[in-house]
This record gives sequence, C-alpha cells and structure tokens, in this order.
Amino acid sequence: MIWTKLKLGCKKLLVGKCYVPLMLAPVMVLMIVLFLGGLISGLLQSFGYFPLAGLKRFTLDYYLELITDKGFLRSLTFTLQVSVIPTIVGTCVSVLLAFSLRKRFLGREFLKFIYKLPLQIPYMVAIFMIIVLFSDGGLTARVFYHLGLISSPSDFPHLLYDDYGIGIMLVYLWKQIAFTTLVVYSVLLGINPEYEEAARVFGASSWRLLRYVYVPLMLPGIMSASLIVFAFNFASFATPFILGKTYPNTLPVIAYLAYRDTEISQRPYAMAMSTIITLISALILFFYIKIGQKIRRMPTGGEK
Amino acid sequence: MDGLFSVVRRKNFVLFLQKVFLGAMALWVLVPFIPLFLWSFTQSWFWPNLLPNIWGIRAWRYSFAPYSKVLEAIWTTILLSLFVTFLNIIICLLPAKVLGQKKFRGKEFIRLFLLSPLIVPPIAVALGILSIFIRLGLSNTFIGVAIAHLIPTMPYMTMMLSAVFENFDIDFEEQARSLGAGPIKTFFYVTLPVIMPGIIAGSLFTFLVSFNEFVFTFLVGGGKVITLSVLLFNFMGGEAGYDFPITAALAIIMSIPGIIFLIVTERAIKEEFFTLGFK
Repeated sequence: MIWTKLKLGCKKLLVGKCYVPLMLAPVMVLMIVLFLGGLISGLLQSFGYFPLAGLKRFTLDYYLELITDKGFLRSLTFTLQVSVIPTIVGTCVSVLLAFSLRKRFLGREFLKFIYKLPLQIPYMVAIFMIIVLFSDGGLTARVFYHLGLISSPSDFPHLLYDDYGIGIMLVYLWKQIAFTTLVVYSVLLGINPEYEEAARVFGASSWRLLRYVYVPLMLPGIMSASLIVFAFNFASFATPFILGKTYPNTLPVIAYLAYRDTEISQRPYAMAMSTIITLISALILFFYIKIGQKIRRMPTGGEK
Repeated sequence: MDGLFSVVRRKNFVLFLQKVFLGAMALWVLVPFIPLFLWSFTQSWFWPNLLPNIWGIRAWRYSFAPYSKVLEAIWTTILLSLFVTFLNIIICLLPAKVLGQKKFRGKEFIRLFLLSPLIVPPIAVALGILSIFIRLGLSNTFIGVAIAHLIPTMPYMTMMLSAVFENFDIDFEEQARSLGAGPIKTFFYVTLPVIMPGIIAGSLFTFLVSFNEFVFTFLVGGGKVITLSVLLFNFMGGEAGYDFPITAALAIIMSIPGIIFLIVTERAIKEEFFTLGFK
C-alpha cells in the first residue's frame, strides 16, 4: 500500500513541475560543484580568504597591488600582444583562404581536407613542431645555412624564448587558421551566390567582390570566430610556458608560477591574477553573445 | 580592345596570386610534419645537415618497450579518456533529453551556462579546483583527474546529445508506452537506437578532448598522473637537451587519434555543423 503510494508520488513528481530540474540535475550539480566551485574557491582566495595560511580577512589589497605593479602590467600587455597579433593575422589569412576555396580549382578537395589538419593536432605537438622548425639549430636555420644566409646557429634570429613571443604566436597561428577558416568558410557557404553574380555583372573585380560583398556579409562570423580565438590565446598556458621567457610572460604562466611559489603567501596573488584572466574572458564572451544575437537578425543568417 | 586585354591580364594576375597563396597555405600546413617524421627516425643528426646523418628506429623501439615511460603514458591516457567518456554518457543523457525535447523558462541561460567551460580560462578553473581537490584528497589521483576532465568535456557531450534529441520524434516513445512497454524497455528499444549516432559523435568528441587535455591533468594530476600530453610537456618544458627523436615519436603517437577523428568526421560532419553555435 505504502509502496504504491510512493510510486504514485514519484510519478507525480516526475511528470509535474520537478521533471525538468530533476532531469537536468546530474549535469547541473556537477557544473555547479566543479566549475562554479572552482571559480568561487579561486575568487575567495583572491580576496584574501585563505584559512590554510591563517588569512581570513576579506580585502581588495591583492588586486590593488597587482594593478599598480609594473611587472603585472608588463605581463598583461605581453599577453594581449601575443594573443591579438596572431588573431588578426590569422583572421585575415582565413578570410582570403575561405574566399579562395569557394571556386573550383585543381587540388581543391585536397586543400579542403588538409587545411583542417592543424585543428586536430594537439597544441603540445604543434609546440614541438615549431621548436624543430624554428629553433637556432632547427630546419629553417639549416636551410638558411645552405642558402648562405647564416654561417652558424647563433646567427639565426632568436624566434623562440624571445622578447616578443614570436614562437608562441607561430604556434597559435598554425593551430588557429584552421579554426577561423572553418567558421568563415561555413558562413560563406550560406551566402546566396546571386550576390556574387550581380556584383560580377556590374564588373566588380575579385578584390572588390571580397571587400564589398563577401566581407560585410561574413562579418559577424569573422568577428565571433576571432573572438573565440582571442579568448583562447589569452587564457592558454602550455604554449607560453614552454616557448616564452621567464619574464615577461603571459598572465596564465605568471599566475601558475605564483601558485607554485614556495611562499604560500603568494597564493592570493595567483588567484587574483586568474580572476582577472576570467573577467577579461567573460568580457570577450559577452561580445560573442552580442554578435551571435546580431547574426540571427541578419538577412543571410538563416539561408542555406 | 585595349581595355579588354588589360582586364584579362589583370584577371590572370589575380588568379596567379591566388595559386601562389593556396600553394603557400598547403606548405604552411604540411611542412611542419616533415621534421617531426625525420626526427623520429633519427639516430644522430648534426648541424647543418638537412637530413639525419644516421637513420634508426631507436625512438620507436624505446616507445613500445615494456619499461618505457611512453607506453605507460599511452595506457594511462587511453584508460582515462575511455573512463571520462563513459562518465559523460551516463551523466549527460537525461539532461540532454530535457534540453532537446522540452521548452522551459531559462533554457537559453542553462545552455549558455553549460557551454561556458569552453570559453572560461581552464587555468582559472583548474587552480580553484585544485585547492578543493587537495582538501578532498582527490589531487594527484586518477579519479580526481577524471572528475576534473568532466569540466571541459561535458559541454560537448550535452550539446551533441541534445541535438539528436531535438530531431527525435517524441511520439515514438509515447506510442511504445501506449502499447504497454515500460520506461526501461522504451528506452532500450526505441530511444537508444535513434539517438545512437549522437552518442557516438559525442563520445568521439569527448574522447578526443580528454585525450588531448593538458591543463586539468597537469594541475590536478600533480605529476602523478602522466598522460601523453603531460609527458610531452615534461620533455619540452623540463630540462634542456631533451631527447629529440623520442619526443618526435611521442608527438606522432599523440596526433594519431586526432587525425583518425578528422578522417572519420570529414564525411559525417559538414562545415555547416559549426554554424550551429550561432542558432
């Protein structure tokens, strides 16, 4: 008797108001505990709540100290620099590549396959590729030697572990042109070919066609792809850790080093830095959503 | 007539430029693979030779030797990725069903929340989680790393599964139920066969993301859980003068799942799929 009542009660619960929350629970609980929990735990420590080191007072000191610290600001500009430059260069190349891929040519199918290769090669592998290609004794340096441009490895310009983060940017570029091209090309496929025909009838050159017809129509796609890439570069850790210098390096690397510092009092600084990284990414996400909403309102957004 | 010629010539020039550009792009993608393969088959390779002085399979022999760190890392990585995929299927199935089939308030917000790990910096989440996991005794353990891997993988599984549920006709289930099938029977004989492609696609994504994951493994695993990406990182980020041939072999091994994935999905998943995010 009680059993059937219980069963009925459960059924009522399951078909009633609780159905949706109950079904969503597994993912939501894990996301809240792990993802939000992780972020909040970091946030608390960044405000100086860190019982393990005897710190229990909430304070903004760590943030204030950071944003007035020259080393931190230098790292921030370095991070922005190595994330923005490859994003811009990569996006321009991607737009050109997607535009070129729309017409038939010999080897198009081949190129359409291989341009996606870097997308599925792990970052760690891409880093090693850049090392063997561009280190002082790498393959490029050896080719330069045979061309008579340099006489020893030390003549080769330092592209890795350098002040400008060139090695880091090369890895980003190699990996990400594939991604931006994929997105931009898929947007391009959705553009009505009659626009191109019309432009051609009026005598538009390829350049004008790209500049005044395709780019404006693809702009939301281009923007959102490059924002994702930018956010990703901004937060990436392994590439600058391996290919960068100790100083200046990117914020994620500095945050990690502060976390791993033997002085446990450095911990709140690490967390304050990672919170700042998160805030900047959240800002990028905000723009991404805004652009996403704009796309839905675009005349070409829904066309196939 | 003169004007026409110049138009034709200009057009040819543009076509030529386009060919150069496309050729350069192909080289840009493919050339970095060459030294990788050469190094993995190198015994010794001195400056300034363009090809190895002495070829050899030492690196490959080492990679698959019973005592090798590489082989151990291969097993750890495969086991971890399979376990994470399995956990994902169990965890995401019901939520994906609701997200795909039901309309409710706050759905867009929940969808966005579930996708947010894709864009929130992993380093920030991982550092925060590490503090919690240390207290719970989950840091430096296989289980701890597997749980941490749920963060970057759940978005893929939930979205792939909810996409199949969206196209799944809810009537099928109701018909089965009205003919007397219980909820479990209905699930295994009606729902599961229909959503199988989604489970497979989601599993492929999850496996690959977990296989290549670095930051969570590195921080939560704390040097105790050595996957392929952690081993590769240790080689490159650690001491100077590491063994290039072995690193190259390791890098090639690590690329295999991704390349298989690309070949498999090339037919199944078209470019259009990637615009789904905007909808």
